[in-house]
Amino acid sequence: MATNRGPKQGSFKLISSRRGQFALAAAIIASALIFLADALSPIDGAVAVLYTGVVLTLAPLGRRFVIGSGCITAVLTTIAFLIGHADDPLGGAHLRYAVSLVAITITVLLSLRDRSARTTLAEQARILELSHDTVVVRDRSDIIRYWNEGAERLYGWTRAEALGKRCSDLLESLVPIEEINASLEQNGTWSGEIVRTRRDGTRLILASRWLERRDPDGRAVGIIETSADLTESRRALAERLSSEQRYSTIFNSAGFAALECDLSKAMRLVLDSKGPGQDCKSWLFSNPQVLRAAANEIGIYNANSAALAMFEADTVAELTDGNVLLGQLPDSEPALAHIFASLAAGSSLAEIETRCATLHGRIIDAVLRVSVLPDGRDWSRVLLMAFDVTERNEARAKIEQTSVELAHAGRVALLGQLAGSIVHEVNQPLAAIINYGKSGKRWLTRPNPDLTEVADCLDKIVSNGNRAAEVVGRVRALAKKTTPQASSVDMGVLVQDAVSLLAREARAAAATIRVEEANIRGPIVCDRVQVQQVIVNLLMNALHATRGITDRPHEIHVKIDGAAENFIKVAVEDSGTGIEGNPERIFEPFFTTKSDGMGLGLSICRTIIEGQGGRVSASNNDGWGATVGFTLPFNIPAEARWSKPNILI
Amino acid sequence: MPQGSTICIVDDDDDVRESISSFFRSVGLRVESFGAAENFLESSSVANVDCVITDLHMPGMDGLGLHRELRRRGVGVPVIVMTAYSTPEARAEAKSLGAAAFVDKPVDPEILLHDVEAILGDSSQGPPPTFQ
Repeated sequence: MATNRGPKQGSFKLISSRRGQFALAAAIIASALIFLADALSPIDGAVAVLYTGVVLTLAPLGRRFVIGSGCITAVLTTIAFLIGHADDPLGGAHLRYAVSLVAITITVLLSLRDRSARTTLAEQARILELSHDTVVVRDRSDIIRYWNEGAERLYGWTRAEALGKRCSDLLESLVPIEEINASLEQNGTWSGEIVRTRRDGTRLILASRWLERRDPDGRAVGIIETSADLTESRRALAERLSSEQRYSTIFNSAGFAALECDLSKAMRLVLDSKGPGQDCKSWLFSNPQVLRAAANEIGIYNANSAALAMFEADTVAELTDGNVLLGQLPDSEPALAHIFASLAAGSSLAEIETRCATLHGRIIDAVLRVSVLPDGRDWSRVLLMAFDVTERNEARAKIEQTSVELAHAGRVALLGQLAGSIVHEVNQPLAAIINYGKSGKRWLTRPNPDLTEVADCLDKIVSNGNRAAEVVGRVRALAKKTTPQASSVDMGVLVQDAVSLLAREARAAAATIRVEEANIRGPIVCDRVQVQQVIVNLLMNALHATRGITDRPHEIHVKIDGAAENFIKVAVEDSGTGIEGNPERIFEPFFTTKSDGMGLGLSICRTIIEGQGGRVSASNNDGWGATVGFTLPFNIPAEARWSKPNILI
Repeated sequence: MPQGSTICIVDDDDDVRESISSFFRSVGLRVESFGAAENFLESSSVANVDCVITDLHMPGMDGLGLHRELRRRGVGVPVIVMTAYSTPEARAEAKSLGAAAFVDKPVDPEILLHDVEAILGDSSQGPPPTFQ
């Protein structure tokens, strides 16, 4: 059988061609002998029938050899007939001639059919070889009769090793034998899973299909089976299942709200209605009806218990019907637009803080985090996590409020310390006004009124009135209790204002205050009142530090430096006593060097500066005195401002 | 009215100084004003001044220092000391130096004028000016 030929195609060809040459030679010699016997011997028999042997000999060489040998032997038969019996009357010789021709013809036809059948069989055998699956043929005693390459690969035994062995011994099969027998008996086939062992001892799970072999009489003679390895796919399946289980455990037991959503319809609606090239977010803002329609298309098909609790729902269905999450409050529309736009832009993650309502109408602040799951197509599987930040925001607002109040208290305390200065700063211009008023009247009531002097007096009255009003205005600004307001501030002007407010304090401390500006590139955005409070505080402390110094001038040097890329730096350098211990400690609450001080001034300063995105710093100078200063960013995003207040105490 | 007398005002606050100066000029007195004690001491006015009005607190030399310096130089001109923050110690020292008057700021220029007139009119006799 062709199927039993060796696996090596090259050697098969070689043997075949040698055999062919031998067959050809044999056939020629046989033909010659038959011809001689037929033509020359006196035997009265159908010697030419022997030509069928020649045809059969050449049959393995191919179709052309079969037809060729048939034709040639027919011709030889005819020649021999003509030589011996051409003149014979119609009789036995003619009959033998006819029989011989018919025999040759039948032999040719049968050989051709046999050849075609062999070809088909050979192809089928090749297919079996090519199959990745194992193909094993066993006889009735379970002895292996055929073993393809797939079987070699999978089981690790070569064909030579496997053939003739008992299959159940070789592969230590675990098979449901009764079920198989029943099925084979009934249908002639069985398919199912079996477990076998490889040569290296590995257990294999196989999807196997068995077919009963029967002989022409219908008796069972063995089994043809084909099997495929399921081990890898089983393992992958098991892994997938366990991974899904893990996901589901995490999903269900997470302490934060998690919802599985289908955004595919919503996204399709958004993308279909939006013209190409339009910015998704701004387009949604200007078309709120589309946004709302899309929000209605959001499907929620799963939610964990934390999500149900957060949105005060009893079942997932309530969440879906209520559409609580989105589209109910005007506040949540920008958040939705942000999420849709992010996803439309190809992002698989979007996060935003928004305000939404529960099923019972309670308003909550929530941070929404949307992530597109990898196994969903077109946003059909999106995981939405929601963190309730209501309490955090309330606490934050409380801290902000406290900070504002404390900062205000600090300013009032500061003004209390400055009361003497303030009174003086207001009284001086008031006294001047009175003097000019009285003197103006005198100039006017003189025998020769001097109107030039009168006009001068009136001018001075006006300018002194303004001077007093300015002082009052500065004090009022500091005394005001307002929520922080960002405005564009010229740091140099702010510092000069503070310096003039402290002019008399400086005089009392016999100190000079010098202000130096460098690399200023423009105004900064900050809260004017609070930052001025900080500057006044730093200057007051600097003046205080110089008190009692007798061996050197009392000097305070304010340096405003805008050289850094992102922030402006203000440093107050004094020639005072310096700071004992760690200089940074001065920003701690209740740290004070003054017997009558509370020690909150600089701690409030730190809160103010850090609340505006800046940093405070303190260090002792190389010679004497200390430098206390702060930085403020040139421009910080609005949402970052005041959002991270530091707890004061 | 002591017409033609010269009065010097020493005060570092421009508005206070100039407003008093304007008032005194309006009644016909000759007034010279100085922003610092040192400036006054360096000027020629020291020699022929009839009355000095000085602020007590000033950067550099203060009012009492000026007073002492004048006495040290033997200048016996009457001195009126003004202050927004009078302390008993300052008042006592001014008295001991022989200040003609010690007045609290803000000072009413009419009263100041009255004191000045009293001092000028009393260059030899008359009622001594009182400490307020």
